[in-house]
Amino acid sequence: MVKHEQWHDLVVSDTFDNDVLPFWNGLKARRFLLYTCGKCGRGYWPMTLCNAHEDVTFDDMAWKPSSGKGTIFTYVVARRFNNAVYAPDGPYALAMVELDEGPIFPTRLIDQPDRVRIGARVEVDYVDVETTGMTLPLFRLSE
Amino acid sequence: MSESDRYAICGLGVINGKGLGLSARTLQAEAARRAIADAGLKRSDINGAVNGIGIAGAMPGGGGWVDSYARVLGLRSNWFFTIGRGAIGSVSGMIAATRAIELGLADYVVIAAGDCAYSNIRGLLDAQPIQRSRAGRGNYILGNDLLGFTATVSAGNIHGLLAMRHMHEYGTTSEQFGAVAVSGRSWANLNPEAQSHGKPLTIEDHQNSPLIVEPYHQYDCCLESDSGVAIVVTTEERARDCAGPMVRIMGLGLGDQNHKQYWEKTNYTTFDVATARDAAFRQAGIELGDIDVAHLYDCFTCEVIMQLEDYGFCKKGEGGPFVAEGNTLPGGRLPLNTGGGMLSGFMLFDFTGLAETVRQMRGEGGDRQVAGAEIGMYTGCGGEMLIPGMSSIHGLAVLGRA
Repeated sequence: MVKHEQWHDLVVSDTFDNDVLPFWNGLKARRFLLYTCGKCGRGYWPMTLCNAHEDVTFDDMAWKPSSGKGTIFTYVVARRFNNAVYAPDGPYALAMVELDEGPIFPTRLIDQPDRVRIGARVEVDYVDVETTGMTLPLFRLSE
Repeated sequence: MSESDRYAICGLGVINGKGLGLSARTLQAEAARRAIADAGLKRSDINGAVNGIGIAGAMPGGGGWVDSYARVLGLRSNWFFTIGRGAIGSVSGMIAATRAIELGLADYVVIAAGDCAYSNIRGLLDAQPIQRSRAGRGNYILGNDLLGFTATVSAGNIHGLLAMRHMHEYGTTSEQFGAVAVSGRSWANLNPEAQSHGKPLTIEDHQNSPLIVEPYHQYDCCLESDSGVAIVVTTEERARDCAGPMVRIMGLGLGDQNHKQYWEKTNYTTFDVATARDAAFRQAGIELGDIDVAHLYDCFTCEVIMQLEDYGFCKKGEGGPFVAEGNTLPGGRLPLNTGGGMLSGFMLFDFTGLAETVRQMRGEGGDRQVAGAEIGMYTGCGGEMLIPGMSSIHGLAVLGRA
């Protein structure tokens, strides 16, 4: 299982783009938000103007809750680290998760990498990081 | 079309090594100085300059350059700029250079790149350590907010995702990746300038090398180098008066699949080759069968397999067996990455392929020279293919013997 004590100091960025700040704030409230089209309901990550209509504007788009569930589309297992500070966490799997709503979301998996397979069902796990005030959207195997 | 409407490379400068202890800017400047001298020109003859190794701000740590090799060399360039999107800088640079010459904005344009990754990673340069850990202050930098990756974002991590998906869809194997590494090394052993010259490599060596990021072993990953490459571009008419042998710029092409960021889900196992290929081959008036020597971008092994398929050297999904059967080895039917590529030669993005293709077209390949080679191509892949906010651009140049 994840060595939670090693996540305490993690940050994703020094600065956050206003475009995606709602997503990261949503995680703190245990909501996995997608940038969603008000015309057709398609959800996007990251922020994308819906490509299904020509007449859509940014006023039609809003961050809406989603299932936070999906399927592993592809993954790797990181075993060597060019930055030594990651080494104690490894080996771990990084995955592209095909969310049930359509987008592919890049993430790190909590589970041991030997259980990870393309096609496996996964769901988001919100990991609060006390020292930075961030909540990280990690994923774990569903069953 | 008169000669003044056609363009050529009239000078080449290359510097490469391990632990040279020079900054990227100095390596770039030295390559440019050598290219200008190779053309028999003076620095004051150069009136256009491109930095072809710019990386758009989308890439973590990217941000371009605050100082230029053009200033270091005191070039009297009417203009200097950086071209982003990663490893298509030489192709984009030639597109810009040829149009600038056509518009009368310059006569001779230098396009240069430099990188000091070998020294940098080993701490041989004091000023600019990469991936500096902030652990001492209690924080790690993990990427950026657009990526959402909650872990280190290294090139191997990202490209490995493509390889894993290619294995899943087409049954490609790690041993077939190994065959790409062995092919590159076999050519490198014919090239005394290659970093891995004199170090034979077998599939067993590949399989026994450490797993860096599954599915990639150490020998699936390109080298780290201290290197610089530069060319001088001018009209064919002017190039004929230069000291160095000229190489014709026959075709330039780009393709991009930004629009396929996730909803098409095909950009994990293909590059947007068709757009680039069709444009460049049309300009050059050639077909795939006319290519005598190819340099396909080999940041990692699976990228070579994907491009062999996407260009049509073999069917989609059959790139692994194509390489494993020995088609790309010295003496094989497709001379591929003849200098050793980035896997075994030296690493400087698309400039590695540029330098080797120019040499092949000049007949300067020594033991690795492809006999009678008239037309060569090289490619580059800019940014990454699948991470939102990153890019997906593919570049191709077709060069010809004069």
